[in-house]
Amino acid sequence: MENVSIGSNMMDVDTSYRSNNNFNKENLTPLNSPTKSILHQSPTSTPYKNSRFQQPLTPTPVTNANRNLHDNINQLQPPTKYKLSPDEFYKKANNPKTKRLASVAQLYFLDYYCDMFDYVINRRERTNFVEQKLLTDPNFANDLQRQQLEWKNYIGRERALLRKRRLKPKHKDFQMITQVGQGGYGQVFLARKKDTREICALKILNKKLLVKLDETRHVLTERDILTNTRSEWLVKLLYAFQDPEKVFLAMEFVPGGDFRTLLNNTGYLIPPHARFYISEMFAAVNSLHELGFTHRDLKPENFLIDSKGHIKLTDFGLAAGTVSNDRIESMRIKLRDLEDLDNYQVPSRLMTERQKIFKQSQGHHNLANSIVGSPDYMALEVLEGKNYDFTIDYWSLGCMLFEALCGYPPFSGSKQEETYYNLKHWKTALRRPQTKDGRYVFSDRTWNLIIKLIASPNQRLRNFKQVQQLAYFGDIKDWDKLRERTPPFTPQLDNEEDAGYFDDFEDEEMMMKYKDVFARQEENEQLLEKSGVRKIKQNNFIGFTFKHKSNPNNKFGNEINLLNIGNSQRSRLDPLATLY
Amino acid sequence: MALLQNFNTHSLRSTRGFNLKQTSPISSPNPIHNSVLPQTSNNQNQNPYQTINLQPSTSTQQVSTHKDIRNYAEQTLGSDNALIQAVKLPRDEDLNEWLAIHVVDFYNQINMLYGTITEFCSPKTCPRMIATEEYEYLWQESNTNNHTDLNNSISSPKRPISLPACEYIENLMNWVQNFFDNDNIFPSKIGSPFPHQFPTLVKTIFKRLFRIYAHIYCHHFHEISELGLQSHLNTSLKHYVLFANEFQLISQKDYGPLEDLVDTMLNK
Repeated sequence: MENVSIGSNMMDVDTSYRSNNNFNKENLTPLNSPTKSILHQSPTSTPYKNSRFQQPLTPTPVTNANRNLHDNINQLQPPTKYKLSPDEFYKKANNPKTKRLASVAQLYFLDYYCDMFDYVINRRERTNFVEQKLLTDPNFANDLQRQQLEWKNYIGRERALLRKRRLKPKHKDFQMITQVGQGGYGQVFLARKKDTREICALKILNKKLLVKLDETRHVLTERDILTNTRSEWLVKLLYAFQDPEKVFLAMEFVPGGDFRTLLNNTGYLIPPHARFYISEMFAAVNSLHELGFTHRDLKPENFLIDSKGHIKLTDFGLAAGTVSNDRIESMRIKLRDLEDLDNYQVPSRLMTERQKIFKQSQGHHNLANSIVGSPDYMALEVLEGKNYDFTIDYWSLGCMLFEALCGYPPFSGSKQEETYYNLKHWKTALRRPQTKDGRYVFSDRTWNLIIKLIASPNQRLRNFKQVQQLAYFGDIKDWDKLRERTPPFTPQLDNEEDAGYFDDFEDEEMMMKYKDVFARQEENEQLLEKSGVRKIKQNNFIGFTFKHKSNPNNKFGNEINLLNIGNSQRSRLDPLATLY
Repeated sequence: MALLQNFNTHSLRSTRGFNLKQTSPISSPNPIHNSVLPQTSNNQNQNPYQTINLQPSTSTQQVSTHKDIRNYAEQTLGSDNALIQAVKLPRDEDLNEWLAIHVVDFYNQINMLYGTITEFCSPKTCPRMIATEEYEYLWQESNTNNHTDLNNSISSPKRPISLPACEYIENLMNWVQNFFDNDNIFPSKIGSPFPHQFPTLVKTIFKRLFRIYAHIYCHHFHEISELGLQSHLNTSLKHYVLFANEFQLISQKDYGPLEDLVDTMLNK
């Protein structure tokens, strides 16, 4: 019976106690214990005060209770307080991993206690409600047996709720419906959470690969951004969890496919439609910027169309800002090693010609490029390894607006090298498209926007406000009400499990275009195998698990919204206090 | 009109398209009605195909500050210490169920707290699992999986060994996690019972997890403070000991070096 083996042999296996004074009773405080008699130096003067790492802690009035706590903690401190020199300490404290964990922990405790008290308070209200009903409702009041039965039922429901709250989401809680995406690290499935019936896009990533390729941070960034926001412009995270091999991100399923698919289906958009989408894209990207992240690698594939036809931004894995990732790195190298092209010609102004070249050169889906790395939408300064800021995302949006209106991105060439070359010489390569009879395809105000987005950093629009003020967006009266407008297209969906706007992974022909992606995944997996038998030790990502607040398991019948208190200023925390 | 012309030219998905809305102020003049589905109206509430992204976001609560939460909780629970109220077993609730969710929650809190200081707790900085110089916790490998090797299982138990704090804590967390993952001990199906030794196991887990608090308080409090997490640590410990006290899970002697601190927290 390995299962219920909590017999005595498993108890107290590690409880031996040893002290220098040869005390052998477990955890007994020795008499004359130095911890009791010697007061060490007070830790109130924090050792790393006035550091750049954190604002110095403000002195807070020490209440009696706190003073006791304070004394207790003081007594515990070892005589040599610092194991690390301040320099070493700050190096470690400032590393992104520690910083992330500290802020994740802050959020975790805030969420936890919010949730916990919400539960306790709600439960009391439910109990009172049921009790009142049983006492006053004539159906129960006069029938003791029924009363008891009903109470028992209620308690059973409470117990079930408690059990559900205890459980972490697991892979097997999800029923896979169909695959909707494939990448180098894993797959995305349309799935349904069995108990709550929620539909989601379940992203499954190979943990060892992430660790090996140093992509962990990207996944964690994505998870952190997603848990930190309630913006309707960003795809919501419903659950995040892990097992020893994989990490799982269950995200809101956005059924209308991506903007790439829309462009493929339409070729290009009429100007009012293009304006509809680009304004929503700006709003979406801006909400990411407001969270303090820069996307860096925006592509039409990153914008999804929701069931109503509005835009949502997804895939912020690269939004880490400082970490170089291999896609960008490989593009950098390519740009650096770019040689002069024979027979290079400045791209044609003629729209029809460029459309033809674009279609011939890359097909429509650009999938290969998302792996190999074509810099169609990427600002030059990123690839030159220069300093850059969040306005690099504006460059990308400029390229997408260009493409939405005429069917090819501004720097597309007949082969990839040409695209690199065009980007490198973007000032001459960026040309205002014309039709055969010499008319401009873009209106003046459109072109004026594009050249303020695809521009050198100092010429580029500097912030969202400047973007909004341009004549191109003159018709938009209220940027906060973008999502109330009627979208040009709404996806036609049969039901909520309809993944018709995503590629069919059962269709072999269709899978041809994923050839490179599969090859990449295989390559990655081989890399893992080659790295040898050395078992990567259990590597649980700390601060990963997440359940969304409105998850149906948190609800119990008539839900009462409890903590509807406005966002008041976050008060400074008393260094010795408890929060509750 | 470019739109209509382009619609069916080279679509990857020929059976599909986007349904052009008649009422759209910016749609082109010739809406297509090629859908087999009824035209969806603009009224989102009538959409029978609601997906999750249509759910009103108003049902989610506003996460506010700890202060707001505390004020609200104390007001509502009618107490100046909401945590004391919160740990109490709700009327007629199954004790094991209540213990189970709390031991999981505290495990997660400790994991989170210790996780933030893993960079500062290495075999070099903390070569032994100690809490002050007076207390060292030794690890003893359990031999429960060794049913086949009779000799071995007779010759065990193995001698308790001294481990670096980080290894001890990792072992301990894995040891606890294995219980959580065991459906016969922490049942996941609604209605499955807990084993009868469950309360004893919870006591053991509580006693051992407490040692991690002890190590953090005695050897990493400054780091926790510098990271701005000291009130979270204090809250977590207070919650822990209030809960342990309510259900008699830890005996006084097991508080070891934190005895005074715990007494203060319990307001003794």
